[in-house]
Amino acid sequence: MVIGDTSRKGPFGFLFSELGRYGYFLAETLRYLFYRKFYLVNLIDEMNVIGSRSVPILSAVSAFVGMNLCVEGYIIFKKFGAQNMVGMFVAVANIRELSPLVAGLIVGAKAGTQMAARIGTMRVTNQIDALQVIGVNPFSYLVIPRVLAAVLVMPLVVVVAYFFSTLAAYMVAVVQLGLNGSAFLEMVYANITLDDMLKGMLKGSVFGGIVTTICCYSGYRAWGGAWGVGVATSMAVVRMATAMVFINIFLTELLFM
Amino acid sequence: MASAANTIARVFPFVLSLGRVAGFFLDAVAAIFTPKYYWKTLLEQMERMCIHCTLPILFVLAPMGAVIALESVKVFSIFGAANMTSSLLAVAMFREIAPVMGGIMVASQAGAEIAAEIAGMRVRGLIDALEVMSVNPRKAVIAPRIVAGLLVTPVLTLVGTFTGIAGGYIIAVLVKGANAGAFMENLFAWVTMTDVVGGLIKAAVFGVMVIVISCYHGFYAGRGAAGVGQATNDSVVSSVVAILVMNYFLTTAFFGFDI
Repeated sequence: MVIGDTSRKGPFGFLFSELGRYGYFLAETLRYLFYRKFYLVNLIDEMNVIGSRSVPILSAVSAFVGMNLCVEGYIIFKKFGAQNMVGMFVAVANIRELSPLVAGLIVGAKAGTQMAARIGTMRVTNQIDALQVIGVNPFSYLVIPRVLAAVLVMPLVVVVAYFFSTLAAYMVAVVQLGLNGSAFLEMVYANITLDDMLKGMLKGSVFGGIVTTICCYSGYRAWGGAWGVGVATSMAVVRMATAMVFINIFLTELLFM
Repeated sequence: MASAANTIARVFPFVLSLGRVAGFFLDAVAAIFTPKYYWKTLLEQMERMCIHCTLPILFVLAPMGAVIALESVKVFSIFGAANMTSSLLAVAMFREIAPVMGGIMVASQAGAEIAAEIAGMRVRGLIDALEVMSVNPRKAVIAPRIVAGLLVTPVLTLVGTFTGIAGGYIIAVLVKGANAGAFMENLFAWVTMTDVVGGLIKAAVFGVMVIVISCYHGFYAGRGAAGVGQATNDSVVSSVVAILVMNYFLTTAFFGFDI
């Protein structure tokens, strides 16, 4: 499969030209955020799509992530006879790292790929050009509502992930592993502050911004019919996951160290 | 009985598609084990999957290892056990992070690509054309991809494991100033053969699951460009959810037997 025009520029030329175009796209998005008409209805629609449609899947997935984390932590801490420390492990790993990452991943996979597919379809069927012709700016109409919605909704989505993953971990600890429930909760409370949770929500918000801009960018630059929409969607997922994990290091270093 | 099944299918359409994927998987397994075998397609698919998935897996697993090292250096320093950073890193990498993140990256690169490709074939009528030429599309298109996923994902996961450990080394030793000798000494202290083999089996299961789900969504794609986009979208969502849910059961099955 030919992706982009790698053959002409070479892989690194392709990488840097894509990064440059993405930066230009970000700058345009920021510019039109303050410049043109603001489509409030689209913003509310997108908040609905990102929030309410991703939350059922996210709650199921984060419950399983929490359960898995609890079992793994138990296996590791049992080596020292410190089974009750599993609460600390679950709390720190969940609240700081996994919940924001999983929330970003699920919102990216559910809402983000839909954005890429939809904007890509609009691009290859010339609907974006049609929008420009009738004097609607595609950035303010399509991109900005999506990005803003993700940035605003993601903190709340991350809270849902916190709740379900910690609840599921608690249930596994009590039912499957036979630990003391109140000792588990005590370890969770002792090692997590409100500060950590707010920072995790901030992380989620940043991930939301990254995911939606990358997905909108990939869809916006799609070309080549039905095939091109598929390529744009699949590239959006890979780029979004890679960017999220990379930014995560810097966010962790910045917020928690 | 039939009406009960209908009610379940109407209330939870999820159950219906689960059954369809299972039927699709069994058809594909039957296609894998009966002639004619498309060896050349299999090799092509394996090559393509390796080439396209290696870079994403490296780019995702190195930062994951780095973050684990970053957090565990801090947490273990509280107990004065900073040496255990590398032990935790290696165990977490072999058991969990590499198979899961590797599976997710295979889903988002190879899986989405396969869904888009097969949906494109469906939309342009190529799959019907294959059937008209009396080429079984399950044998020619689906089976080689599933076998390629089964064989390639564990290899990619193993590569990703060592990348993750290298990423952790860079952060722990070069940035945070942990002792390099102690890091290497404790690296494989907790890792047993069960962890390595369990991680690889996990990766193989995830690989098959991802490719089956992607092929299913591509094979039954809707019409036009919107159908291709929808198929890709659905395949990524269902693969990621399937991986993260299945992971808990596999962890309990492989590593939780002495609880």
